[in-house]
Order: sequence, then structure tokens, then C-alpha cells
Amino acid sequence: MKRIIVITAALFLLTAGISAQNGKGIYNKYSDSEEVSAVYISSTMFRMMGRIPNMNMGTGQVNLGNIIKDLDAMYILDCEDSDICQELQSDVNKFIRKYEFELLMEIKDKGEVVKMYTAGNEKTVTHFIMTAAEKEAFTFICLDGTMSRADLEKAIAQAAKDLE
Amino acid sequence: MKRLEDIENLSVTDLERIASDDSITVPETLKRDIARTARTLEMLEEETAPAAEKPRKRPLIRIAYPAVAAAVAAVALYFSFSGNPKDSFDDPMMAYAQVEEVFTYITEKMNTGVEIANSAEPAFEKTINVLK
Repeated sequence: MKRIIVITAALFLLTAGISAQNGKGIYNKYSDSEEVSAVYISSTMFRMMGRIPNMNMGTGQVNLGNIIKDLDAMYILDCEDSDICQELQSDVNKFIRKYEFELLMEIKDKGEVVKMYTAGNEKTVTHFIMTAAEKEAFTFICLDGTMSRADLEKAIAQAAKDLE
Repeated sequence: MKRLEDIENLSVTDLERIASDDSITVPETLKRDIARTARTLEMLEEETAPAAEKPRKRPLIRIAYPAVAAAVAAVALYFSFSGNPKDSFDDPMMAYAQVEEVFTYITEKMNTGVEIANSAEPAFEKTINVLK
């Protein structure tokens, strides 16, 4: 009996650990917490929406709506409890390391550190993550879908060029 | 017939005398009977030895039960963790507004990054020119 409990507990921790290392797993782990605001939009809802929002951005601005072709899921977690924020940040970092995300951009502005990561292949970005960390707050945004890597890089380069 | 008490009361001298008395004959089957009795006693000892001393083999099925139970629990847990979460919005318009808000937020942060990079460019170019 003792052996069953030990093996089950070990597998439970292992399973919880593994499943918490992707966008859905992280969302499932933290979304029920009272200190965390959570938003999930499924692929079904994206199909019901019919189209990806396209914002009217000025020149010198990256328009994400033009780049994202298709979205399967969107996970957003916004935390304002320092202990949970630390744990969430640690899980997100594990996820980023596990799937070998590439750092697209890091912005340090007014005490806030924003990092954007992409994962996929040479042509297509299949996962996009943005984290925004402040002293006692942490935001995690994960987009699962399809966007052209060339279009994304071109849009950023064009925005920079327009600002000159 | 001698009693057990009489034998116990015999002195060493008496015992030596009796042993050296050739008139007393040893039964021919005595040696064989002693060997047989010794073997019987050994067998009885083996049978009555404590069970813990013997290495007991646990049946394979009894070992497999905890592993199977744990594996089933792990699979159940995996699916409970990896199940699709519930949509935050029932109304596609509300979801659309949320996505738009998120895109605007990401775009603003991206643009801040691009602006910071652009403002640092002149200093960067100056350094490159100096190095040239």
C-alpha cells in the first residue's frame, strides 16, 4: 500500500511538472488561482470570430493583425501576487527553455521588463510568447497559431525604417 | 532392569569397568539405527525451521498491481491536467474585443522596443564610424 502511494505521488509530481511546461498546462495550473486573472480563447472561438482583428496602426508601427494568419489558442495570465508571480515566471522559463524559444525582443522601460519569444521553424512561427515582469506583477501571453517569420521580421524592420 | 537414577548414580570407575566388559555385546544394527535417527532429526529440523529464513518469492502479479495502479493514476492525472480549458467568452464579439486589446498591447510594447532601438542607433553608428 505504501509503495502504491509513493509511486502515485512521484508520478503525480512528474505528470504535473511535465504538463505545466506548455501554454495550456501553465494556464490550467494557474487559471483557478484567486490572485490570477485568466483569459483563454479557443480555436473554436477564433473560427466563430471569423477573422483576426486588424488594427489601424500609424506608420512606424508594427501591426500584428496583418502578420498572424491563423490562431489556435490564446492564453493570458495576469498575476499580482509576488509568490505566485515567481512560480509562474519559473514555469514559463522552463517552458521557454524546453521548446527552445528564441528571444525576439527585450524591452526595459519604466521598471518593466518585456520579453517576446517565438518558436517554430525557419519559415513559420507557431508559438509566440510575451512576458511582462514588474516588481510585483507578471503577465504571460501565449499565442498558438501560424504567422510568417519573414512577415514578422519585415514588419519590425519596416517600422524601424519608418521611424527614421 | 536398571532405572535411569541408577545409571546417573554410577561413578566414573563403574562406567570404565562396564565399558571394558567384553561380555556385553553391542547390537549390530546400532550404528545404522543411530545414523537413521540423526537423519530423521535433521529432516524434522528443516521442516520446522522459521519461514522467514527462507527467501520468499513474491508472485509477479502482486508486484505488478501497484505499478499498474500508479500508471492508471498517472494517465488520469495527465488527462486532467492537459484537458482543454473552458473558453473565457461565450460571445465571439467579446472575444474579438479581447483579442484586439491583446494585439494592441503587444504592438505597443513592440513599438516601444523599436523606438528605443531607433533612438540608440545614432550612438551606435557613431561608434562604428570611430572604429572604422
